[in-house]
Amino acid sequence: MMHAVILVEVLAALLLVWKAVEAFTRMSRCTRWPYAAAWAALGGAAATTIAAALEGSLVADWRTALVMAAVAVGVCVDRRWGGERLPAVFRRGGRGQ
Amino acid sequence: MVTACGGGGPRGVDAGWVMSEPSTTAAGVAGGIMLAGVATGLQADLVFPAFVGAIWSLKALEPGGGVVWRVVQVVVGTLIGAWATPVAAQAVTGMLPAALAGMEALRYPLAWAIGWGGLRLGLPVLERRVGRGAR
Repeated sequence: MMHAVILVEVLAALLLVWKAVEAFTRMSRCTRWPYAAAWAALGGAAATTIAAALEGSLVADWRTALVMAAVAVGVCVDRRWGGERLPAVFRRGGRGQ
Repeated sequence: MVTACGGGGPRGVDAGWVMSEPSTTAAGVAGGIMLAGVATGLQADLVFPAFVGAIWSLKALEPGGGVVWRVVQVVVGTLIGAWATPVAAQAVTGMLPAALAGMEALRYPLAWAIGWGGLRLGLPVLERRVGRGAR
């Protein structure tokens, strides 16, 4: 059970890292920095989770796993995040990302 | 009296406790992430700033490009940042004033800078080489 929870956490973290890089791939110099910082923090936290799992210090907590899985699924399903177009509030000048 | 050589406990319990010492010490000295029993030397607390630095360097690039290639770049940048930071911290410590030299927290901005700079400066060279190889 403990290993299953850790596996869920690591898989969710891998997905979040992937989506963070995907989001940064679509960014340009015009992207507002809080949007970039939020993705960097999310991806960094996910990368830290993977590192902690490799180190053996990751705590198997099913609530954390649930939240991480929910965020990862939400980010993957909702096409606005990392999708072709960003919500206008995150763009400067209305064109480009 | 309990001795360090394991003579004090019944059935050699102390001896077992003493035997576990060297491996614990070795892990503590090597530090960081172990993969298949091999100490990689990566420190988990440096992964966050190194990753943020590496991913931030993508912001300056043109949008687009393969996501797989970008993921590889960020992973490489993170590894460079996390690996090089302890060495760079040792080198930088000698140049800093005494008040700052002992600050452990200086490793984090350094990891960010190496993660960012390593990818920002090294990426064009790498892409040029890969592009030349593809041709």
